[in-house]
Amino acid sequence: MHINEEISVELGHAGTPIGFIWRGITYRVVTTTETWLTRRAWWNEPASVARDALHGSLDVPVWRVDATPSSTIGAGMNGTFDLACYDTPHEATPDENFTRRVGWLLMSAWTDVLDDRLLA
Amino acid sequence: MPRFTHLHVASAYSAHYGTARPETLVGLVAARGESHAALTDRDGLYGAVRHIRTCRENGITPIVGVDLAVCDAHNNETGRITILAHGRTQGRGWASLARTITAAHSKRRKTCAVPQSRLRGLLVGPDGVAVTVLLGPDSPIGRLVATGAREAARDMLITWKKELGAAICIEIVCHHTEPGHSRSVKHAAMMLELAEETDVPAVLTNAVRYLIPDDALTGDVLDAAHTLQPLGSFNTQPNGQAWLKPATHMHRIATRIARSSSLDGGAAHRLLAHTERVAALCGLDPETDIGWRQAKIPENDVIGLGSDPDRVLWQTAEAAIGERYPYASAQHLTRVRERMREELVTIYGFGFSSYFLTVADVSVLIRSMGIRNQARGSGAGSLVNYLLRISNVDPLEHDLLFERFLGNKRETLPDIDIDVESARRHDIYRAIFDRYGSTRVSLMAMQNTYRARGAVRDAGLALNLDDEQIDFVAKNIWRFNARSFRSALETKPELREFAEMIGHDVKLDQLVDITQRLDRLPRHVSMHPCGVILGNNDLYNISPMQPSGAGLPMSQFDKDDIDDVGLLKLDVLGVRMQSTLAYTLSEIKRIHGRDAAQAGGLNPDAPYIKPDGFIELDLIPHDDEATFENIRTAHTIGMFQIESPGQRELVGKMQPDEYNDLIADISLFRPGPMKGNMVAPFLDAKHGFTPPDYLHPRFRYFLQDSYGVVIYHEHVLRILHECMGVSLAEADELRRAMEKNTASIESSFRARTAANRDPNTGARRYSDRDIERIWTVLRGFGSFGFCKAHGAAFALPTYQSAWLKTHYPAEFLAGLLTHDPGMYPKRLLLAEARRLGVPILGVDVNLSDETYRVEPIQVESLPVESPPVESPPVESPAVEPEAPPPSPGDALVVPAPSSRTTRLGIRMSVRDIHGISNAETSRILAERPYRDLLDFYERARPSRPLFQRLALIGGLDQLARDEALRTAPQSAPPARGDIIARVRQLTAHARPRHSGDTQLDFTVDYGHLIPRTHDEFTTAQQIDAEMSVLGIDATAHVIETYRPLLDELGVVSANELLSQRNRTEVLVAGVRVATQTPPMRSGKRVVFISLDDGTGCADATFFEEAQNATGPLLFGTKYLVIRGRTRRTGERGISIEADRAWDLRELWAQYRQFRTSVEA
Repeated sequence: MHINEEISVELGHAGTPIGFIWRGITYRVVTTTETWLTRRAWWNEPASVARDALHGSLDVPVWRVDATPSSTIGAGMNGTFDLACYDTPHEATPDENFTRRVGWLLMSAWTDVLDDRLLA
Repeated sequence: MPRFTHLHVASAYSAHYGTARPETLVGLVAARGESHAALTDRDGLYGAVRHIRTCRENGITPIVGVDLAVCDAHNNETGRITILAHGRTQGRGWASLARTITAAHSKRRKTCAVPQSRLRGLLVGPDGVAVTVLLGPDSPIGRLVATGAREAARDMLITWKKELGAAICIEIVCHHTEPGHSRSVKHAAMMLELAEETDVPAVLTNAVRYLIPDDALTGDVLDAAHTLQPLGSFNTQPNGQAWLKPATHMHRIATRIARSSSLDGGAAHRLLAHTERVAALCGLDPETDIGWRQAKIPENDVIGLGSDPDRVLWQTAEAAIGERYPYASAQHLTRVRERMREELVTIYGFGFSSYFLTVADVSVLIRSMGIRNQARGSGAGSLVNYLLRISNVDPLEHDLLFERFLGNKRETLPDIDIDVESARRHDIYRAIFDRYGSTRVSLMAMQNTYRARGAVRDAGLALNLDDEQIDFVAKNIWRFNARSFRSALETKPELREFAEMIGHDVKLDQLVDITQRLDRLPRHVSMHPCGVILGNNDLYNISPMQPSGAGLPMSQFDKDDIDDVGLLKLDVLGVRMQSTLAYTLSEIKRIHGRDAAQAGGLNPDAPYIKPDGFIELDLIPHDDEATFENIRTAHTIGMFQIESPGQRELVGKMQPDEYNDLIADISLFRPGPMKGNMVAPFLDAKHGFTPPDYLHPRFRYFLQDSYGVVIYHEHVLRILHECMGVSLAEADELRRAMEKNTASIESSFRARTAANRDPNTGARRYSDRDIERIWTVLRGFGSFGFCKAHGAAFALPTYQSAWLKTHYPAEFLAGLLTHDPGMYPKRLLLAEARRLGVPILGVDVNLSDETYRVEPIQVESLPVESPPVESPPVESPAVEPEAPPPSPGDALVVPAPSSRTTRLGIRMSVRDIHGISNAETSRILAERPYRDLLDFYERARPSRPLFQRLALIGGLDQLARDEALRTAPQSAPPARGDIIARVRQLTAHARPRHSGDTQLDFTVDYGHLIPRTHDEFTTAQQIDAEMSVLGIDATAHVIETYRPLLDELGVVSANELLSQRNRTEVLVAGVRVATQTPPMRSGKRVVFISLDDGTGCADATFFEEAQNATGPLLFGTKYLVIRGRTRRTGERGISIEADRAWDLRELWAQYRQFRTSVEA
């Protein structure tokens, strides 16, 4: 389900997410299943759309990761999460390493608990 | 360096999809050192020819294909495929491509799509296939794979393979979209697995639609324009990956896809290698595949030429000499024959004889239909064209040069443009199709590109701005490029308000940037207004066709493509003025018959007037003093090309008195000469203020036609010829070189002119000082000279229209009103009729036609001219006896009207009634005459609103009066209000049946029921009704409605301006009829606004300060009051240098409010 909440992300030495904190709970990334690209809805942002104003691209890289809460205390859930990185460097593709990362968004999450709640 | 050929590339010629021009795409491919470049636009080959041209220029092998939708048996779209033509197949691949596209554009389907069932027939010929079909993520198979239906996808692929065999290829695309979606890595991997599993080759593409990542944003806006929905309300592109990625990126993608698949480690390599194999297979050889630049004109036997077109051309031209020069001296005939021989030698040399004969054949065809036609452009410089009757301008009479039209160096066919009556243009197209066979003829396409206004509208839609906001911006955009929108905000006063709003509104700020991004992108394709393409029987193998608005097939190629593919383009341009002239001539003949000469104040023996009253307009003498006198008054409204405010000013200054002056006038009224200050020396010399300066005595013979001012290309040719001793043909090449780079010929000009010596005396012909002077003029001439042949051809309809307006003003104005050829609204034409004393007769259902008819009228039924608004209701607009004709604004020396015994009026047409349908028009005309209102209602069967509108504007007045006279002769005639009430009565019930056998018919006699209790209309009411129903103020000028205010303000009328002293401060008021921002010498923008107040036009000039003071009223407001100072522009010219303007309607509202409060 769509979450779209800001989170803070911890990066590993390869520059990929190895953990994140969502709603006060720390998650450890177990595996990164795939990286992909979503896009900005620039018409909803107070952004300039002059040539090259979006650093050359409207792409937003997303890490789809399997993660688990680092401690069993609290309400954390095992699941799959899409972590989107806004304000990307120039001409980013998922194949390249990023040097500058600013904002992270938890776009979506898929967990048994959420599914149960949705279907209940 | 890794290599990669992009096989699937959409350019901006995929309208509302691609963002980059083919030239830019090829440029980048070339810069990367690739050997092949492909273009696969959506739905057609619109950009293919320029793609090939750019590839040739860059030494790259072109690949061409198309991205087409496929549909099932019910015309439902099932996906998109890409078809690539194979190269070096002697055109088989290209022909398959062209014919498949033509099939996809069938009239039977609403959208462009090729039925899947037809693909085999279209693509597989007796010699196998010559195309490769790419089945990518959007193909029916790719779509099935995306849904996870692998088995079904495999079955479908096997079916395709059976149908098209080796032609098919799986297209792998990865845009790194969300896992599980189309174009994700997984989707691409599954497609690749499917290909290997079924033994179908696969290629990698990037389904490119833009050049660089930044263009993705432009792509979003194009998607919004395509779907007609704002961004956010439809599924936008998933991300911005569809750019022309470099080879290293593409190789990395191949590796990633292969790794995500279950295939072995060699899969990525196989994929990339096969991509290059397909590229090699599809590399086109333009020479052998499409006959690049090789002429493909109708076969000789189609036009009945036999085997020797050169001989036929010579015989035809020779035979015409007697016809064209019946009274010429032997000496002149020798000159004619000499010139003809010279031209023919050049034409033979190029092998263009059959081309000239083809164009002549088309001219004969048009004339045989009784349609006026007239060649335009440099073709008028050819005597052969004159003899073949392609042109009606005698090049010897005007000293026009053949070399300007056809020099020594030319690979492609010269342009010959023919102007015809606009109203019959489509008839001509059909006749040409019949004559040459539909397999050889087509219409031509035209790419419409985004201009500022369209760009603002589409950008506004994409951003979901409300219509009012968009209108506000669009309305104030005036003649600047969309790409300079941002800088225009800072400088244009009419955008001041908008510029302030941008500061507070991000969306508006985005609007500006998006508008700039859309600038000049192709927007949609339409029918070229005049291009007809002639080819040989191979036309459909070369050019794809699609249906056009004219109901005839249209080639997808535009005017810039035709030369390169070797087809013949004929410009058959519909010109409303030609229709106007034809209509005027038919009215003269209809009304006057054998008295035509007398009616026009002409000599009854004039050879150009036939006994039945038909005037051979192309034979009228070109030195009619009355015509020139009329032109000199500067009342040139309706005269072709010299009616604009700027032209009226120039004509007023120039005071033309011969045909050559008209040619000069038309040639001078253009940006170059205006900026180059060629006008002032011309006028000074013409009026004798300064003696003409011929630069050199040897130039006198050819510079006399322009008082020594170098205006024409022909002048430059002759100067170079005289100075440098080069032939005229070489001189034309030098002139063309000069147009690109003036300095390029300077040294050779100086050297050769200095070396030019008199063969007898050995003395130099040109001193160093001469050379300096001549070079200065040539350099100043730069690129803004004009081809005199153009001017001479253009001047013909100018002179002809002026001649008709002078001798037959009523007939000519009826022609203008019917065909509306000019820049001014019909309202202004009616004002001109009033000024000339031609009565305007209101709509009358028994008399009005589909066109504006000239009507001889008895003196006692003359309409009353503009009664004052505040006067008590008048009886009707047409009963005051012996009303004197309204006096013309100022004295016009026209012999015709004053000598007439009967007066001619112009009867308004029913065509301009708001909301009238074609069927209603035909019924009204067919069922005439009508006895009474009921009879009209029953038989003409107008819609209820139409019936009421007719009553409102007085179209039923006469009918009602006649009826009243029969039914109630003793009562007063019914007033307009009575008639309206009566029509309401009639339309309140269901329409009575006219079947005859119902009881109802005779039991109800409606005849006695015209009420007599209502008021007559005041003039103001009448004008109001006319403006709302017809958009035309027929009774009196609409400005009269504001008379009390205007009088109080002391507004000066247009016809009084000339009597004002220079630099007097005045106020003028009127309806805006023209707004122009012509090129100025200073380069600063000047806005000309012309107001019409019923007595003529007041032309006001707004310089920068006045523009600032006027702000948003400058372009948007219709009724204006302008304050400024008079400025004399010549003997009969005056204009106003404005200092500001107001909205008349706003002033009126304030005035009324003030009056009301005072009275209260």
